[in-house]
This record gives sequence, C-alpha cells and structure tokens, in this order.
Amino acid sequence: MTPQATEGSARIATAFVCPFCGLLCDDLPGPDESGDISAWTRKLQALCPKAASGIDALSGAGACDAARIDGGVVAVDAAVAEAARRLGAARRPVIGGLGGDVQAMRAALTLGDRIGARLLHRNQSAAQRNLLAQQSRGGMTTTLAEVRQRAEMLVVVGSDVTRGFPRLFERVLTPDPVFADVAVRRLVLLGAPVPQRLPAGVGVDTVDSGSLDLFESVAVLRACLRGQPSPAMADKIEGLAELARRMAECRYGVIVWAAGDLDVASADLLIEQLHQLVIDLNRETRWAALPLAGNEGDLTANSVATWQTGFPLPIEFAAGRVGYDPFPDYGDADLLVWVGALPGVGSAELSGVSGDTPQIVIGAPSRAVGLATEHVFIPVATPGVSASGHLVRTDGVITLYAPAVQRTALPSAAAILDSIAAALPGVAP
Amino acid sequence: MSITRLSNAHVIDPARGVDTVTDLWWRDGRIADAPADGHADREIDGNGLVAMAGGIDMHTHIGGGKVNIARMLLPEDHSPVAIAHDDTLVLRSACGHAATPTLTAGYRYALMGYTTCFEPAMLPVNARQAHLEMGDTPIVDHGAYAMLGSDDFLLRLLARNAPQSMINDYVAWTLNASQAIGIKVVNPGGISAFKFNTRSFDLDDVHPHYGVTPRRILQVLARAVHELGVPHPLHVHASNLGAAGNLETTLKTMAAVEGLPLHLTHIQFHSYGTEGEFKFSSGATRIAETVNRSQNISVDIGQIMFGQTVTCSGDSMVQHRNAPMGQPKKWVMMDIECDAGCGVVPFRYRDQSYVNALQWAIGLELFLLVEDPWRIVLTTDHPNGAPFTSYPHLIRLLCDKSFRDEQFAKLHPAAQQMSILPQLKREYTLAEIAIITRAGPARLLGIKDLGHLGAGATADLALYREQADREAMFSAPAWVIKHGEPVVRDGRIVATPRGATHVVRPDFDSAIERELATYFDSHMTQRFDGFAIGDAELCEACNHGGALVVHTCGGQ
Repeated sequence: MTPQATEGSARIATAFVCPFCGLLCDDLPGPDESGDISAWTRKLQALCPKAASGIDALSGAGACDAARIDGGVVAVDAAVAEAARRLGAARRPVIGGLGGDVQAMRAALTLGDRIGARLLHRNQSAAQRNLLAQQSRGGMTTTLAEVRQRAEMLVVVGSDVTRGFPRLFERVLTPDPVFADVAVRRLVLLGAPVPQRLPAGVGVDTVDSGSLDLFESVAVLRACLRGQPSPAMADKIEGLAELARRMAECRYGVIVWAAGDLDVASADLLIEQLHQLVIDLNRETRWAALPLAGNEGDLTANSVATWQTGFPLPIEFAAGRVGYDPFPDYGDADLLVWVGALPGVGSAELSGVSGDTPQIVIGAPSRAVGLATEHVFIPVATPGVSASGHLVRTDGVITLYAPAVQRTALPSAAAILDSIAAALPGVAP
Repeated sequence: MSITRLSNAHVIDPARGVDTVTDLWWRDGRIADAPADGHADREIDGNGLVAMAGGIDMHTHIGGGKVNIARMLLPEDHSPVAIAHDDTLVLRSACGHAATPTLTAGYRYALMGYTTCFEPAMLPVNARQAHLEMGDTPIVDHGAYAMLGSDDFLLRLLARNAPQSMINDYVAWTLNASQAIGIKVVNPGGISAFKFNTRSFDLDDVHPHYGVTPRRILQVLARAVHELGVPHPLHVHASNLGAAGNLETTLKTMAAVEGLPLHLTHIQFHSYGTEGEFKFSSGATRIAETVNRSQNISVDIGQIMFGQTVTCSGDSMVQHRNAPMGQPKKWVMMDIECDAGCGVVPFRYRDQSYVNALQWAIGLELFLLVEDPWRIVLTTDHPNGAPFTSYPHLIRLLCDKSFRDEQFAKLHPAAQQMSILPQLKREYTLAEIAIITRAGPARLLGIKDLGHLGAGATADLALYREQADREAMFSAPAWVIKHGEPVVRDGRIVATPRGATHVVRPDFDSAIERELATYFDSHMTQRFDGFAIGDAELCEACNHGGALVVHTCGGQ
C-alpha cells in the first residue's frame, strides 16, 4: 500500500485520519499544500498533543530513512535479503511490536506462520486486560456515536483517560446530543482525577469512595444495586450508594476506562467486575462499557490475528499449528523482528526478551533512534501519514481507511514483510 | 487458453433440467460447448462421479465484527484443524470449530465443494472489517447483505414520513457505499428500541422514539429493494426470534409485505407454537403451508445440530433476553454507532433438552414440508444453528428416512411426542439437494453465472463420488473446481485462488448524499467523505487483488 506519488504538492490527500491514538480522529487538519511539517505540527499542537507529537516524532532528530545492516547503510533489497537469511537461521523467533495497519498485520501473520514465530503486540499487557476480562465473562459495550448521542452519565474509572485518548470528551460530549438530555448529562469520576482535557460546560462529579479501593468500590456499587449493602458499612459508602442510585435512574450510561492506565494489580479482574456492573444495571435500564483501546494499533493487530487464526495475541505458530498463549515466556528468543510502522513510545523491547537479542527492526524512520548497531533496520512508511492502510478504532467496530497524506519513497511495512517472506531460504523466487 | 473435458459424469444441473450421464466442457474459467475438434488440454474421468455446480451458502456468518467477537470469546473452542494439501502448496495453519477463523472457513468450505459464501449481516459502519475478513477467506467467492432497519437515519426518514423515493435512494446509496449484494433487516426497529430500553418488540409495536412500527419498516425496505430492482428480495430476520409462539409473528410478517418478494431467513427459529406441556411446540406445518401458497416468499432454514456452537446476531434485544440460556456462561452485547447492534451468546444444543430436540425436528419438518425446493435453502445459519461443517450430515438427514428415524429416536421423549417428523416420508433427491445448495441460492440472489453448468457459467464445480451414504458423499468431493482450475482433489487442497466479491450497484439520486453528509457531521463520529468503500480499496486493500463482480439490477 505504498502511496501513489503525484507531481507538484507534497501533500497527496487532504483527509487526514490520525493514527496516533485509538480514537483515529478524522476531523483534524492534514498538512497544507506546501507539505510543511512544522506548520502542520504547530496547527496540531493546538488541537491534540498526541497528534502533534506523533507527527513530530516521525521527522525528529536521529530519524533514519535508509536501510542499515549492523550500522552500515545498504539498499533495501540487501537488508531484506539479510533479514530473510537471519530469520532462516533463527530457531525461536519472536515477531513483536506490531504497531501498524491491517495490511502489516496480515503480512506479519503470514511470515510468522512460515517461520514458526511467536507474535505479540508492544501494547499487549494493556490490551490483554480487556481481552482476558471478556474471555472470562463477556460484557456489554458501546461505540463513540452511541456515547455521543445517548449518554446521560459517563463514569470514568481509575485514570485520566485523556492522557492516552486526548480528544475523547470533545468527540463524545458534544453540546447537542440527539437522545440524551444535555441538562442532566454528567461526567462522574470514580478513582480518577479530573481530566486534563474536557470541553467547557460539562458537569463533573467526583465520587467519594472513602478509603475503599476500586475493587471494593465496584463491589459496593453492585451490592447497592441489589439492595444489599452491608449495614455496617452504611456510613462509609454514602458516596457510592448515591452513585448506585443515580446509575440505576440513568436512562443510558457508559462506564469508561483505559485498561493500560489502570494502576491496580490484576486489572483484568477489575475490568471483569466493571462489565458485571454494567450487566447488573441492564436488568432495569441501559448501560454499556467503553473500554478504550487501540493505541499503537493494538486493536488492529488483535483483530486481524483473531479473524485469521481464531486467537487474539499473543499467539504461537509451530509445526503447522497455531496456539494461543496468554502468558508466554520468551526467554529462549534468539531473534526479534520488531514491526513499528506507527511511531509509538518506547523502543524495541519486549518483556521477557533479552536486551541483547539480535533484532530486525521494520519501523518508522524514528525507530532507528538509539538502535544498537548489530541489527537490521528497514525504514517504512507510517499508515495515515505516508502510507494508506486500514486501522481499527477504539470501540473495535469502526475500521477506517487512513490515506497517505504525504509523499514518501519508503515502502509499507506490509511490503517489506512480504518481501522477507518471499526471500526466506527454500522459497523459489 | 485451457480446455477441460469431464467425461461420463452424472451431471445434475437442475437450473437446466439436466440429470444425466454426459460430458461437460470448460474453457479457462467458463463452462463451454464441446469444441469442434474435440481436443481437451485436460481430461477428467467422470465415471462414478456426480457433477454439480459449486455450492453456494447464502447465509453464513463468515466475516465482520460479531463473528470476530465470537472467535475472541471462545479460544477453548478452537481446536487445531489439519487441512490436507499438496506438498507444493504452502497453507496457513488452521484451527477452529464454531466461530471459524477466515482461513479455516475458506479451506473447509472448499473441501466440502462450496465455492461461494454470503455474509448475511454486514453493518454499514462495520463493512470495511467484513470485507477485510472476507478478503482473508481463501478460495471462495463472497459478498454480503447490508443491514438496515434499526439505523437512526432510516428511522428518522420514516418518522418524518419521507417519500418512498428517498428511502430508495438511501437504500441504494447503502448498497453502493458498503459494497453489498443485498439488504438484510434484523428484528426491524428492535435493535434501536433496545437502546431505548424496550425489551420486546412485535410487528405492530410502536418504537418509543420514532413512533414507527416494524411492519412499516419491513414494508418500506421490501418496497425499496423491489423498486430498485435488487435481485435478492429483502432478507428478513423477523421479530421475536426464538420466542415460543412466534409463528404468529412470522405469518403476519409474510402477509405484511402484501405480495412483494421477501426472503425469511433461519425460519426454523421463527416457527414456534405454544402448545403442549412445556408451552413450546412446532409451528412447521402452518409456516410451510403459508410458504407453499405464497409465491413471493422464499426461506432458508437455520437448522440446529447438537453440540457446542456460538450464536452471533445483530439482534441485541433478543440475544440479551436469551443470554441466560447460553453456555458457557459468557456473552457479549454491543450497541453500535446509532446504526445497529450485536449479541454473541455461546450455545450448547442438546438432544436431551426438550426445546433443543424440538428445534432440531422443526427445522427438518420445514425442509420436508416446503414443497418447492427453489424457494428453500439449506443453511444452519452458521454458526448460530451449527457450524457449516455439519452440512453433509444434514444432507443425509434429508435424503435418508431410515437414518433420520434413527436420529429422531435419540431425542428427548417428550419432543418426539410433539413432532410429526416420523410421518414425513419424503427423501430429498440429489437434484433437490443441488437446488437447495446451489441452483436455488444463485437464482434467489440473481447471480446468472453461478449455480448452474450451462455454457457461459463460471466453471465452479464439485464432483462427488456417488455413494449411498450421502454424508460421506458430500463430505469429501473427489474434485472441486474453482474458475476452471482444481482447488481440491480427494480431500486435499491443491490451490488457493482468491475469490471475487459480488455486489449490486442500483442507481440513486445524489441529493441523498448531501443530506447524509450533513447528518454525518451532526450525528456520527466519522466523516462522510471517508465512509464509502471505493473499488480500489475493496479489491486491492481488502481482497488482495481479487475481482469485483457487479450484478445488474432490474432496469439497469
């Protein structure tokens, strides 16, 4: 999916779909006709810090748009051939990172199946909290437009969700919902600070849950809804009892969390309880959960893995079989393929993979920053910026086609992964 | 150019009335007349083989958000699947059972002689994902029905009594924008009503917000599909799925469209009475009688089979109601984007459950009581009634009365008392099987070059070894041909070509796009400009370079 090069303007499309968080905002400006990156970044800075820093990171200091083998600049073909050679010799390879579009993930799965690799996303620990909770007990969820038009109460649990999803509330707390009564609409904070980014005029309540932690608070809410709070606790749970009463009276409410930011042990169990709270509320009224996700393409990677193999990540291909291994041990990894077409935070590191494991990094030019020299590096275009590709939005339902808005000579991650698979030893040209 | 002769095969091609031992020729990807010089580049000895067009599953949940939720929800249901193949061919690892992954689905459909599949419930807002998943389903051609009827835009049009012409424009735009071949309605208005906390919604109930009834939604959508000349009639998942006594709703639904064409899907789930000790009985006789005398009605069955499966439905209202009966005890519901919803509930159908046993019998009663095979289609509503891999077993049940009786004898005794199945002597002929598994679906979908073996048809074929055990016969064809080339030989996959996407493109007045653009700005959370799926995006980015087949609508 490399973009079509066009003459003239450095800008090749105007419809920018921002790939830098799971919200995939398509209402932010793209580059202007001059293609001036710093002008674009300044415009974005006023609208969304993650969009601005994402664009900034792509062209920042140390970025490298040349392929390298062990520090030496080479042609892309040579780097692909060397990557294939090293993969052919690897016994226990891991394909990690997986920050990219649908097309990159398809290619990573094809390659992984060929070489018997283990695969997981860089953001797996966050994504997996939501996955494990759903695989245990299920849940009831909703999407951004439903929240925008219907929600009369949003309960934010555990963290400032605008840290990872800066424009969430501007997008769902618009002034004129169709079905919700904006006069009663409230944002309720349960164990969460006041969000840094909030549109004017939104009423905010902070729940007093006393000394109770989030597990206990949710348990109390569920008990109150059943009419069974412990009398001994009555004076300690006034704030929660009041919240439970208001939740039960709300016509359509939404519980929001960002799994990666829940600073509790066994967060998947907390999420499971939040889903059960939603299910309890739906006996009489309508509530749904909005488990925020999709940053660094984690929903994209997990969606494609699930439809192709039946399993979300982490998975393992071995001897013509695919298996699901939610708690993998990568201590024996002897080669790490790192796919990072989206310029996410962090470098090519995976927990459990030794830091001195040889790497093949297929990433945005900024991924070269700080990369040790004894690796193969192949720069690739970024979906939504310099390549066109499909990305899955935070609610898991909407897949957007993010067009390239900039010209580049760089190939897509999918094209490189496909080339490596085709160049593996034993494959006829 | 490559010419193939299949010699001396028992060709069963009911669309042309052919049921005889003869030769069949194809040139490249198309069935052809015998060449004058009699030369063939490839000869296939058809002795002992029954040749039919490739199978067509017109209602199988193979791609899209709810199926993917089902896959994610049940990792324990994905046992490894060994797919035999040629040594020269690299296949992808496969696993899965109920909520089949895309790769496994493509392989296993082909191994069964099926060459085309249609996803029946593609939400317009989720169409990209559905097409991406179908693009990752190897070998089979595919297409999808776009789901309308609980979408805010349509319900607003109805609430303000917009003219039928405007509804037609919206329906036509939806088919174009989402790259669909038909329109599906699920529990008309009910998915929306559930978001307003309505828990049941019958044909003449009034929507709490828009003030419209399911009857009106059905009527305008059936009329729109008809007036646009879309070949496949409105594909209806009726109100009240699964509820005891819902046969009355189903009969009223058939009457509601006043003679317009209508396809009632998984009708087994809509054919229940309230008689007997357990207040749950078979409505098959009354439903079949009405279908038999209503030439405008076609149905598919949605047969259940015993064992573990998972139900994936757009009908969030009914799925939420039925969730407590699910097993294992985990399920997912979604409200989706002022457009639709979904519910995913695992089910384990048991022959010792009175209700499940009777559901099984009701499906078979319907198969045997509906007289015109051209208006009934073999489905299990995969995976809702059972995984599609149970089709060969189902075919044997239809063809073999004694086998059917043996299975019936294993049912919950009270269910046996409530079914007329043993009295139904009918056994499906091979020609009738060919109708309900390929010729009929092709005709119901308006696909002129699939489902038959006349000159010019796409050379998609399944060649089965004639066997008295129809389950064995239909489980493992000797050959499966896709677009003229072998894809399966004796239970081994020998090639994995890319299937085509089938769509229709009815015309519409572009004024509807201006209204939609305004609506998207004020109501949705994505831009109108990026909503429609372009041809290049569909073929290159979704379908790995696969072909696009546009079927004409009436009047085009």
